[in-house]
Amino acid sequence: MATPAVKIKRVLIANRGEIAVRIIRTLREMNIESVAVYSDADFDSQHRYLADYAVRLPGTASADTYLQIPKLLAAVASSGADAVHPGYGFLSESSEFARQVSEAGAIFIGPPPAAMDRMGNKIHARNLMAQHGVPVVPGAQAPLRDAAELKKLAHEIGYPLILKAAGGGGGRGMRVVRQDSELEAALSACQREAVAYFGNPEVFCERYIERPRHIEFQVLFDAHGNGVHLFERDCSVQRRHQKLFEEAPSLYLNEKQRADIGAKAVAAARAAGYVNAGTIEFICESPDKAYFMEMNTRIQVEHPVTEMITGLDLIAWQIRVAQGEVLPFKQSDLRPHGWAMEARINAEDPALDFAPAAGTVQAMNLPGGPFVRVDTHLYPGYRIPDAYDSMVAKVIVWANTRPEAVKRMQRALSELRLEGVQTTVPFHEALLALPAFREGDFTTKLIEEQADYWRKSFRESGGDGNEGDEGDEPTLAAVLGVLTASQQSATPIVESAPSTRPSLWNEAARREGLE
Amino acid sequence: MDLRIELNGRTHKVALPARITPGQAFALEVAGQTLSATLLPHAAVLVLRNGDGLERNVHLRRTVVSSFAGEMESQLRAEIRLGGRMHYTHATGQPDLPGHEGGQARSGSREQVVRSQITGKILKILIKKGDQTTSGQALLVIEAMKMENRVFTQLAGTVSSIGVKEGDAVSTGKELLRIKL
Repeated sequence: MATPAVKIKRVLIANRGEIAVRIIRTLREMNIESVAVYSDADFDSQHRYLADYAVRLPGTASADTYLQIPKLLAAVASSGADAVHPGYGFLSESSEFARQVSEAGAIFIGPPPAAMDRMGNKIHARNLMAQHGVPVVPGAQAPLRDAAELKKLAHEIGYPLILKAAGGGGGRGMRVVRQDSELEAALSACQREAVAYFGNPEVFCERYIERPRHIEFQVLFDAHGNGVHLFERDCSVQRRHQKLFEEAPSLYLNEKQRADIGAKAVAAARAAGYVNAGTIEFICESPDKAYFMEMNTRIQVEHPVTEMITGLDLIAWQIRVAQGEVLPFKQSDLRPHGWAMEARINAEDPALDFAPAAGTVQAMNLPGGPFVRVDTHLYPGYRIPDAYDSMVAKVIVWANTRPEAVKRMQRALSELRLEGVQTTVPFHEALLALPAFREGDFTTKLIEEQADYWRKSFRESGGDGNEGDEGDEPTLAAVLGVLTASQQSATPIVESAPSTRPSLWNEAARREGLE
Repeated sequence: MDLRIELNGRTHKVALPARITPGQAFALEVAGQTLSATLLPHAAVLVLRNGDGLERNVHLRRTVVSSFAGEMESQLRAEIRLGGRMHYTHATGQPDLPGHEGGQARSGSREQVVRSQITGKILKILIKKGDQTTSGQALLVIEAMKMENRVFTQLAGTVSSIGVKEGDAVSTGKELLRIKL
């Protein structure tokens, strides 16, 4: 291994929660000191005390704390940190932050700001990819003039199509068109909406992928022009564009498709002048039709599944690359090994349409045993603040094969005990029992398409889909009787949360998402 | 104490001692069978024995019992590992008192309390006192964990009181308002 150009000695982590804890762990293994920053709401968060040093960021809201570049730069200066790791979310994809960190004389553990800018603008990124032979969703690069032009284009790229207002987003100003007869009406409606909502009549058109699979490739580049991909992650289990469960590799791809798309991911990152760890997201119409969607210029929440199948510590490699080290392996040296899965444990109640359920961890038991990893900042007695994201833990398992990984994840989740906080564990258990998931036959529409299945799983009494005694109901009733009675005992073992009224339910909508 | 547990639309009578001491065995009766049981809160295990020498460990992964002063019925929600698999249960439990048959015949007011199911901040109140409510109507918006959560009702009635105002911090179980049926 080449001698690093620099040796990082002290890293400030501009983040919180599980990712701050995860980064501190790697820093410790590398004999690098860690500096935590914490908001007032995170005064008792684990990362504050696990780090070697900590700096307070006065305030609670993200905008006043973890998103405040001046406060973070002041913390870099006062702590004497020589590098900054941004984690994910918050400022991790801010080229402005990366630039200011460098100008302040510290190393930004991430890509060069110029590469972040190149990939940050969706239209520019799409054009750059198209120029470099990376497939993008078929469609027009220029705004549509009239229905005749649209019709010609429609026959070139094929139905269904989606019309999108240039300034649009969040589902507004979009129209799906499935046949010639709908074209004209859809175009004029879309143009009207484009003017009404965004003050810009420009409408673009591209192929509409009805039931896409979300496949992303991890890439890793050093500063000397060497780059590899570290295979794919399948993140198709999503709810309202929020990933809930990820795995690597994906059943969707065969070895040839994996190599093909992987090579495209490497080409995409190279075209952007990328250095460090990043992710190229593809939207797949079929395993042979993978289109570039976007690049995430940072470490991802789901990076552990890649670590499990490659044996590489991605945070450590981010740091080594930032120190100027040369990647000691080539693509041909790398092979995916076994199967890994990650379940995101969110403080949300699946039975209440995933409403947030912040609370205090009254009792906790984390799963252990072979090939199980838990990344979390929780500890018994910790009150989950309601100011930040609801993800509180990640359960990651590895096994030789996918069916074994499913069993191992079920076993691990059955051990995960968090009294005081409702989590998405029942969702994951229902997912693991779902035949479509087990067979690998699913798309990003899985959750909405199986609505009845989830409702039944979360709101009605039932089992986890595994074989077992059916005649257990009286025993179950006896257990429930003990739970009721134990409330009046000296040491209640149950959480006594007031109220869950059937007359009331909640609808949660995320205003701001983490990838 | 004798309890009635409603589970999957069926009622089960469970007889238990008046007091359960953690770590100490007690007798339990259900479906004509007497079992010996020991509750180990820290291990989250209930050990059941039916006399054949086999100890059956019931794992209590997550259990929530909700009850209110003045109300006999407790709502139970539990994730229990038993018989080789996980059971998700939604049930109710109440004392089995003579002359008090049937879960529906609860005495009391025609006023329904709407409580917060989450901890957060009242962002917006969408109704006022005296308003008529219809099933599926949104009542207010609570902000928690970067999400806006609308609180709906399934009850048709009249808003008889509102116990919170916009900007209030509320915790789980906090009374939000009452609806007179």
